[in-house]
Amino acid sequence: MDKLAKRLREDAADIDAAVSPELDYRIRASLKGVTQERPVEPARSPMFWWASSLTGLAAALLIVVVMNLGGEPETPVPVVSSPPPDRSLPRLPLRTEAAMITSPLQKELDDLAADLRKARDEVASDVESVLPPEIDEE
Amino acid sequence: MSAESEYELIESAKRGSVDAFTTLVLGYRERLLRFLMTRCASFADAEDALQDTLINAYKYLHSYDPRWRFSTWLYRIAIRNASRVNHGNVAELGDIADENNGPLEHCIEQSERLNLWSSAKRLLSDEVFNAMWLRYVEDMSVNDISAALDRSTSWTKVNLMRGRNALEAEMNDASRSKAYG
Repeated sequence: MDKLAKRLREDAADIDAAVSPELDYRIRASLKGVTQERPVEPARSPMFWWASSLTGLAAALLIVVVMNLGGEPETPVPVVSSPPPDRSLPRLPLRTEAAMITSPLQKELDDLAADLRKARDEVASDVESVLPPEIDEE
Repeated sequence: MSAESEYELIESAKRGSVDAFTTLVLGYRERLLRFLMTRCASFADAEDALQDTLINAYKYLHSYDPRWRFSTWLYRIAIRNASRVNHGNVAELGDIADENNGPLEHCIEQSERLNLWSSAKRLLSDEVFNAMWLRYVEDMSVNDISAALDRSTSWTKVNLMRGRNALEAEMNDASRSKAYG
């Protein structure tokens, strides 16, 4: 504490300020007669309650109206596609045989190719005999 | 008084306990009266101002903000009451209070040395005097002083410095004249 601060503190202590019993009694008596002021919430006018109630009611009605005007929510309808006309070829019985290699390879290959050509010709003739001509044209 | 017990007393007083309030302000009464004696024209005025201060504090205790020190709040009320009492007296009596005959001068006239608060009353404005008192007698912070005086912290700092310079000069003059006298 510096010199001035010390001096100011000492000089203040030199001032004799005693609360007399009379003053003490006076203060206590006065305090007993005092009613404390309590902070009061500002009272809202009746118009405020009416306005807020009406606003809430209007909002609720608006929501109800909007929900009803909109109808039921659209659910995605599954697209049912009709089955395409059965244009598949009739099954033909296939006969397969295991080739028995009995000759040199080149000859066997020629024979197998001939067999394949014959088989293809037979298939073609069968197809012509089974399928109607208009389908064939398509 | 600890902060906790002070808080409990404040809460009890808020619920209407006069005894709790009396206990709460017991330690502040003489300090406030000493301050009010420097501010009022007579001892009776200082006592009236103290009574009004405590009554107002009790009456408006619900408006007390615990962020402040309780003493700051009390001094704020006391400063207002002192100002009101002084202005009321001037208007009532139609006369300016005699600066050399106030309660402060009565109290310190027995002392042999110069009381700096008497010089402060003569040299400083009321607000600067209050700021100096709160700073050097009550040990208040600059923020608390600003709150009590309803002034900015800048104003408080500048005027504390001015008051200090004025009183230091007075103190040095007094010691110099005493040395040469």
